[in-house]
Amino acid sequence: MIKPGKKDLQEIRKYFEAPEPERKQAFLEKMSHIHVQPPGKTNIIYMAWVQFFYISKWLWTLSAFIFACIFISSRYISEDMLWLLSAALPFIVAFSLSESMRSVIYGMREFEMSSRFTIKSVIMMRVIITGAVNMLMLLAVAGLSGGGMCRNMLYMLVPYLSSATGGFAILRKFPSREGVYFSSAFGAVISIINLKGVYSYSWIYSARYIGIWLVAVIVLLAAASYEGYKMADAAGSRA
Amino acid sequence: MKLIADRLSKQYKNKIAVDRVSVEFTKGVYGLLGANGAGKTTFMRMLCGILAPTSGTVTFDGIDSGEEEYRNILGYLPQDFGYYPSFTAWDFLMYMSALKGFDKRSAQKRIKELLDFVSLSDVAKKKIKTYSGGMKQRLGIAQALLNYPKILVMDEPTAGLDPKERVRFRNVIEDAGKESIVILSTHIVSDVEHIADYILMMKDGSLIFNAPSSEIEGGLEEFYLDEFGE
Repeated sequence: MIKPGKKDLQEIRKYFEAPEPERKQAFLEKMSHIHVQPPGKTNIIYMAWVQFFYISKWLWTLSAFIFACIFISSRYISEDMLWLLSAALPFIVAFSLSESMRSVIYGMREFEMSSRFTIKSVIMMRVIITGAVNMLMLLAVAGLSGGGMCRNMLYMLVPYLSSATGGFAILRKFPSREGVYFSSAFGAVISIINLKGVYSYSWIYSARYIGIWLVAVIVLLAAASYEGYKMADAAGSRA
Repeated sequence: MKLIADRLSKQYKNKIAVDRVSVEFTKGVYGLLGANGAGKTTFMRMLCGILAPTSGTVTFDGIDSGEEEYRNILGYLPQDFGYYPSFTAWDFLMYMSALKGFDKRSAQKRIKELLDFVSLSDVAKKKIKTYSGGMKQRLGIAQALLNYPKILVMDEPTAGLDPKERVRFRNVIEDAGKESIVILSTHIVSDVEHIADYILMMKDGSLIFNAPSSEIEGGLEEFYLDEFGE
């Protein structure tokens, strides 16, 4: 028997209509009793992979745009632009935090709380994913810009982690759309302080004070990690 | 298969929302009736493990409601729910499938069945924000059924459904009740009158009635009004 090719099938479809299914409902009901059980054990890696694709595209686009501006400006215009433009980093943090709270903002919280992978793990994954991607972009910008990579990282991490710490604490207190606005406002304050520091106290960016910057980063990293975990825990806690 | 709520209570500052409710659920359909503010939603949320009780426990065959194993066999339709604005019905169910632990292929198969079941196959790729209230409700019902739940808790599931859809919904619930514990709360007595194996009534946080529906003489609506003194 000659097997019809793709074109033949297309031609057949043009001239002949498929018959209506018979006893479709009975068949579907029968099939529904054949259980396709979900996987037996938690697979965090698969879940993290899924969450990566559910993070809004606009967040990645905006982050990439800001980082690209920082890189281009500091490399081709002035090295000083690097920590000037790092004042924009708190806004990346604010956008990332809003992504973490999408479940609460859009009323999906109860669905996610009653699922196998709870809202707490969903939020933690989103925080870790957005944080990790932002860190990679920071590293790339710090490394490819002029001046020392480590020094650049420290100058950028302080406003970044300050915004994250404050933002997490605010969202733990106000787990809602308003909380996102408050944490964005906090990010704006950090940004202004950063700008003030660059213009009025530029001496703090000298090599002499690198040790202080390093200590600040370590403390803020610990604080941001703690506050991030507490925020996810609070969002997922049974009220 | 036994779901046990043992002396479940929930107290807020000035109000006792649920007052020492003890119930044993086995396979079948349970209709939970009560006026607004009776404590039905609070009780159901504690059954689902999303609201911590002030005291008491909820266990299913010995598994506490706070454990992953419990959530794995639970299907829940909240009274009010939202969705991510960019989601289509398909996206929403794929996302919920991932949260419930399905791999992609199993999820796709199950979602196709359920979309057909709730008559949303034709609009599966349209954004949920374009849906009517009834369509959103049917989508919510579909997500509750995703993981073949052994415990199916539905809070006001027929809200927004037209009469034809409500009849169809009753058939779905009757079928589910053969294999699972189905608990549904509603204001619409007729929704549970014909399908509930057991009737529970709550008033001011307490369970005032719990018996098989066969023990109710006369119509359920008259009985309900009598119990609530109206």
